[in-house]
Amino acid sequence: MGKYHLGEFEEIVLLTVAILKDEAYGIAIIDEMESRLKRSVSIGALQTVLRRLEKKGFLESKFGEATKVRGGKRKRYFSLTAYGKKVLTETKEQRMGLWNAIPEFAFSRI
Amino acid sequence: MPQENLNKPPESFLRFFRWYCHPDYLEDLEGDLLERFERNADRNSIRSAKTGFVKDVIKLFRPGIIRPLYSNQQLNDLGMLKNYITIATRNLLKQKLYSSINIGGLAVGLSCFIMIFIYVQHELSFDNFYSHKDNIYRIYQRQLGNMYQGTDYFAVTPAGLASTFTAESSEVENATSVVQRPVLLTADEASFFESGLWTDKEFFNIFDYEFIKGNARKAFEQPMAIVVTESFATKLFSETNALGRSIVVSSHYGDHEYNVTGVIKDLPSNSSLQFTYVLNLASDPQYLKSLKNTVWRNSNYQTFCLLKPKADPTALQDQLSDITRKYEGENENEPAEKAYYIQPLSELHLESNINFDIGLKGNVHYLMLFSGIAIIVLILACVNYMNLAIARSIQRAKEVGLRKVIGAIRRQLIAQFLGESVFIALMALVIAIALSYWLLPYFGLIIERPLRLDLVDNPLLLPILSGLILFVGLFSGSYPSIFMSSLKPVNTLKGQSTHLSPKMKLQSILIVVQYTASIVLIISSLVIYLQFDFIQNKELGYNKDHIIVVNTRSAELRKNFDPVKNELLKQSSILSVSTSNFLPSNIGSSTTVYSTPDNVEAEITMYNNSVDYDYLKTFGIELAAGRDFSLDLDSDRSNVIINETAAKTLGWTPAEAIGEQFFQGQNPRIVVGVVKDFHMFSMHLAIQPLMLTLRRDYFSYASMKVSPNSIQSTILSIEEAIQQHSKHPFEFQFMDDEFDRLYKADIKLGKIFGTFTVISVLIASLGLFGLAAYTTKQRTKEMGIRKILGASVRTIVSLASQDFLKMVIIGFILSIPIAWFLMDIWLQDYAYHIGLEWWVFAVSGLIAAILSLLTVGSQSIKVSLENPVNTLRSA
Repeated sequence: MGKYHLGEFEEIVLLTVAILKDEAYGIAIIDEMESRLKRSVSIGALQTVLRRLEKKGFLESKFGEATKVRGGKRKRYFSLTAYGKKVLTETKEQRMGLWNAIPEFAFSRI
Repeated sequence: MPQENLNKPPESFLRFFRWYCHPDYLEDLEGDLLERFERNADRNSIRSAKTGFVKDVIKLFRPGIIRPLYSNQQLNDLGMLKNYITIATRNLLKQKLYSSINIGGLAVGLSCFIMIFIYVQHELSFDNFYSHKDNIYRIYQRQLGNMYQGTDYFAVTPAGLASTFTAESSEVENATSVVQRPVLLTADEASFFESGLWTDKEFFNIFDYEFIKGNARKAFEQPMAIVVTESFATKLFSETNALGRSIVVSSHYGDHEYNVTGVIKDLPSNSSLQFTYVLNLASDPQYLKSLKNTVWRNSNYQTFCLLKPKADPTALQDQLSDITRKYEGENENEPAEKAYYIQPLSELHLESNINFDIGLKGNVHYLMLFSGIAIIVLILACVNYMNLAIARSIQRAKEVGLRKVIGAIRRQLIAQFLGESVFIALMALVIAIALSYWLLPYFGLIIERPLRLDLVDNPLLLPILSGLILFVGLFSGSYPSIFMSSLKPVNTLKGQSTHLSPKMKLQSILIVVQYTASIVLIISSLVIYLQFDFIQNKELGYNKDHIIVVNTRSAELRKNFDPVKNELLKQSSILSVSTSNFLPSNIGSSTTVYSTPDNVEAEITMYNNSVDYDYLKTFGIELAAGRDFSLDLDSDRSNVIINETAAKTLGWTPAEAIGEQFFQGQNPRIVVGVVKDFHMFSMHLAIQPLMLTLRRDYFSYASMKVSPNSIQSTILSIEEAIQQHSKHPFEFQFMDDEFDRLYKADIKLGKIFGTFTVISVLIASLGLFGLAAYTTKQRTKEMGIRKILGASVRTIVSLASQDFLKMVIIGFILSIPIAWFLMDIWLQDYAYHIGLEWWVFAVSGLIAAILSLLTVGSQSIKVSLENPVNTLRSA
């Protein structure tokens, strides 16, 4: 399996999509990230990453129903694919592995 | 209302966004932007919402969001093209058998065409490299009624013609006399016996050969001058710089030393005049003597003349007749009235109806025959290709229906099918070019021409081939494309496509054409084969087995032949030895004889051959009456032996002829023996009156009847005995090889014809096979139903085959008159030939029928054996 290393921002976006479950569309993702991580995210930055992740097969998307708000434009809901889930889990396990490998004293020294 | 207006995001930026955004993302992104704008406007101010919107739009302007550079329309075209190619390749791969039959057949047909085209082009290109090529003419004469080997035209002219013609004709710039003569050349101890040209100094002014060393104008200033080609110079002196070197030339004038005054480039392969050296004719005493004759007597030289620019050939012809009449004079002894004609150089190569002609000869009949074959094979291959292409495309009705539903317009469908067809034809062309590139050297070997496939240098081939491919592609594509594009999608998608297939009328006609051509070729091959078999096995009247023939060119050998002969006869393996001017297979000399001494009555062209005592014995020629020449009778020097034809022509039976006489000039010739007719020429020519005379001091061949055992050692001992008296390289052949050489051209023709017949029959069979496979496949359901209803395997096979058999029968009927007509013409070329018998046609028809039954039958048996459950269940 070709290893794909997630970037930091990519990982956050994937996690946020996972948190939002069925409600993960552009603005909702931004709001979630801003509220949880206290960092501002532009539509441009987010959308580019979303499209990239979709092309890579970590995400899939579908249109929602049209509503009266948003100028009648439909929302595009993103969701994790099985592959995306797997990559996320792997990333997490790698991190945990690193954490677990840190000797106790090295941390306590600081 | 104004509130509403104010709540709108900046129009210009929205438009900018809509312009650059990738169309796939446009809707949801615009929604996101508007949602954020609306929320900002609610929570903060309109103003900050507008600024935020502008910022968002600008930040979205990045790769990944921006639409691709190409506009939508172009993108779709590329996609469609890709789709067409994908579908085309899938179709090719899906039906591998049909595709390979289709492309392979066309490729083979095309490569046959390419090879024959190059051959024909090479033959027509002869002598086109001289800078004066259009103004060079040669002069030949007709001796009315003086038939010699089937024609009374002769290429030889008097020695004085060239200079007289130059001086007295207003149209002629220059003229030269040429004669081809073999001599022995010795330089640096090495001897070569080769045939070369003897000519005068005007030769190089007319034929502008490129001189590597020396000067064309000064080459023949001295009489003892020789000009050699580059490769001959290398052979003689191991270097090309041969200028000033000396070569000893041994001819019947004795040994003389010549100086090399020029070295020319090797002659191109498309030169009629083929030689390795040119000797100055001014060193030939015989020529100088005949130049002085005021009345022309003997014709021994070829005459070529160069016309002035803008000269009129018809005026030249008139002047030629006037001038020659003046110098011919009234000659009592001349047997025939002479007339002179001119002929352009370009016709020299393919002229085959003139005796004693010079140069490498092509055969105009073969050229036409091969062109005919090339066109037939090409038509077969194209027909094949079209048939299969049409059959295959009908299977694609569903694809067409679907394309139409999705929105393909008719023009696009036509373009698709045509393009695909041309593309596949192009693939065949590429294979054909590779194939002919590989095969051409072998073909060239058989027909003895150095053929080469050069697409870049050949100005005609590529355009013709491209045009041909375009035609084949478009023609074979046009029928299916127009037919398919007219289908109604509803019908095709409902699965009614099979009912829509055209009734194969066009295809049937094409198959009949194919079979007609194939059967014509089969009949022709069979006739050619039978004729060759007839020639090989016909009673010749002489024996050609176990006879070794030695060329006796050395004058010394001829003078001392009696001791040599005695020495040879001492060996038990040599049964008899005979010297003669000609071999019985090809008598090359004739004279005119009369039945009365006043030379008025009964003028007969009599071929003559001077022989020694043992000629009849050595060649096993049988006497019909009288006796052979006898050693004991001195008077036999003026006696002759004639053949049965001569006796009959003179009005005697063989028995009556003994003791009778006829006259050669004033000399009486008394007949002492009559031999049974033997084939003194190839079978192309009829047996003519012949007389054998006794002459022992001059001969060209020594023939030895040997015992078939230990031939190798016999040859060695013959060489040893002969070479004691000869400086010439030892040359020998077996009589049967010499005989085969008479038919070299015929055998060549037979080989090529046979090959092309096999190819074309193969192509036709392939085509039939493909079509049969296709139609039976289409009828599998029908066959299944028939089987369920109780049809036997035999009925189904005959049902599936009979349509095709009908076409073969029609083709057979059509081919009979065509083949009969063509073969009748071909056989007329032989004085002795087989008759066209009915069984030849029957056998050919049978071959075609069996072949077609095998190809069609294999398919229909396959269908009939299939379990109807399977055939009926499939969709």
